[in-house]
Amino acid sequence: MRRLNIPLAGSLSIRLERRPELSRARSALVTLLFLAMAFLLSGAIFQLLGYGALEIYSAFGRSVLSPTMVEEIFRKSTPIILAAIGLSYSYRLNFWNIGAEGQLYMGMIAATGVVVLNYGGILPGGPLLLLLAVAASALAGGLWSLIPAALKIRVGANEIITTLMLNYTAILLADYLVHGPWKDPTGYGFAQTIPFPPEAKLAPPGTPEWAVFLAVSAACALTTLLVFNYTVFGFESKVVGLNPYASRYAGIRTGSVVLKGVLISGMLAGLAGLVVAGNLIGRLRPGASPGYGYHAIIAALLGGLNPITVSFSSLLFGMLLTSGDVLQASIQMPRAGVKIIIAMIFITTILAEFWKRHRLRIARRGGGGG
Amino acid sequence: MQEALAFVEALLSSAVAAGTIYLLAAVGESITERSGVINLGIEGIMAIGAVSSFLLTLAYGHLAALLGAAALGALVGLFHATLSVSLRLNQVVVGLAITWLGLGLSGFVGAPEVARYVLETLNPAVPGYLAELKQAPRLQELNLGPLSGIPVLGRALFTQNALVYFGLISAVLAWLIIFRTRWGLSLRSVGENPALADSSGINVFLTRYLALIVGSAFAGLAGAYLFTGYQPFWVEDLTRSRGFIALSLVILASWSPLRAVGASLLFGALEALQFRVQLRGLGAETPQLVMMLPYLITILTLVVVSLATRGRIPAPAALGKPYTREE
Repeated sequence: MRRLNIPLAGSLSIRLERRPELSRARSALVTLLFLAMAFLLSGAIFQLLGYGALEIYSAFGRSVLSPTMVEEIFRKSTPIILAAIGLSYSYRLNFWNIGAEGQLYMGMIAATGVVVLNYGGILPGGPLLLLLAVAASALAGGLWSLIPAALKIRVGANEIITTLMLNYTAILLADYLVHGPWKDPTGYGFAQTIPFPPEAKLAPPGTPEWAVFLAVSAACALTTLLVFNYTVFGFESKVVGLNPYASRYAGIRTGSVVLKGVLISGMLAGLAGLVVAGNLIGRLRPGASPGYGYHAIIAALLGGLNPITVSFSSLLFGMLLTSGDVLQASIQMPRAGVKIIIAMIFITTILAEFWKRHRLRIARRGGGGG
Repeated sequence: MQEALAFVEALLSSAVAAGTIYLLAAVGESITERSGVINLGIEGIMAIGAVSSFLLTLAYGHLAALLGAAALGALVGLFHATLSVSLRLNQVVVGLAITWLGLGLSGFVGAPEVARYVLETLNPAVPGYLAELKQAPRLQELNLGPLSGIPVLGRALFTQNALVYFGLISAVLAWLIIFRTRWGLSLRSVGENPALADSSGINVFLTRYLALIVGSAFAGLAGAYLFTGYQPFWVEDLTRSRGFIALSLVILASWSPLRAVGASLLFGALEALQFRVQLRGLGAETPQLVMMLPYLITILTLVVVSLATRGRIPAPAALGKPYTREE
């Protein structure tokens, strides 16, 4: 058994040992305990910075968890669910795609492009329009993610940096379009595009939005579950992520597996863009995404890259995002406060993963070593 | 002609000023990465450095601000090391978490009402409303006498604040230490082959801890410079991914603090150019396309470096891999 000793004062040391795998229930319990710790720690920070933690959390309980907010939470969670499930494909491959935000923006841009072309009479309207918007957003997100994947495979460029840089590029591109060529001529000078017509929305007016979102999210999660567990690609992507050298040796075409996985990542993020531009906002405007793609990163990791648990952790982030707006309105808490809570969840998540695999023992140095 | 010269002079001067933000961060990150640890937290540490220098300048002046920002950076580095070196958690994830925390904390602390509270707590003698104005005095340029009168280069090289010179000197010193001393040899061997270094008696864990702490202190200082030396007006997300650009700059400079000087000048010039182009009215309506340049050029330089080295980027061999001592 591998051990790690951390020397403390004197002859005492903390010994880290691998522990046998926890049962599912205990593992979930550990996750929940560490989640609670994140809220406690952020509370301590707020207290330190002059905000009453109790006041914040009670406002949170009163307003955010009220029935009227549930629908809003679910709306805001949907793009996170799609993007986070998408990111699971990348992270399984050990491809550190930080670019869901940019891919989501490209999805918004492409879907809006379809709407603008339709307005200009170039693309037909009717039921075909939604199909075009879906295809365009997924394709744009997918292509945007293929750039860092190809650069990684071809020239070994670090994907963390390239995906991040492409995020800023996509956000600026959207900004340029809404201020420039795609600015709504009848929009009283506001930097925004024309609104999406009902035919271009995933959940057109009249249909219950939540039902459509639930159907899309569930379909995405279940399909991914099948892909991960019962397909050759799912198996290969896992092997590539664990050991790219061994997998190449075993005859897996590593490059093409990575390209496929990252492409799916980007397509799902692009689709999330259609949800945001089409339904959540109804048009493209600056700052359209409050960081759905970044929240998706943590949601994917918190959910352990399993599409079902990832969906639930995405709901948590949808709730936190909603709470940012609500807490600002009700107790004037700066929006960045929610970022602190999310960062704490991020940190306790990785600690929880560690805790599930190890246990600590305080031991006298030299005694009982291996 | 006269006008063109003046333009070049101003451009060079602001290229050096902007480049220092990248240089300070890149010098620190070169040291960290030479030990085999990648610190993706520098973006967040810079944000913490920036906001703390803002409030500390108001409370106690510039020196306290710079020292405080570096100390806070070092503290975050220690936290990073605990997670990534001792507990051997994934360095990418730890770094991203720290960046997120840094951006959240800085945004929260920089918000007017919180900034006021923090300033009043730091120094009750200073009126708290000063924090709500979001401004602090800028770091003074040093006066190097007649040298700054040299045409074209004088302003760029001899009319800067002390941190600019500190950045240049520390780049040279870091290079000397990394490549010309025993310490540097230990540092590099830990980054190349930690097992071998360990067996030859080098303390791998201590080396990585120190490398992370020093590198993060530099990142904190880079943030402090960004605010006090470059743009002494607080806005949320002041760093605007400059920490991440500094990370790619380290690759561009192939982990040499000396080459980082040239690389940061390039990105400094880009930032200065972008600003001046906008001043001249080009793309005044839609500056976004010009603003994309630093990000696109970052990607481009990564590709060029990879191609120039035929995919064999001279990264420290153990970069990103946690070290486990087999017993």
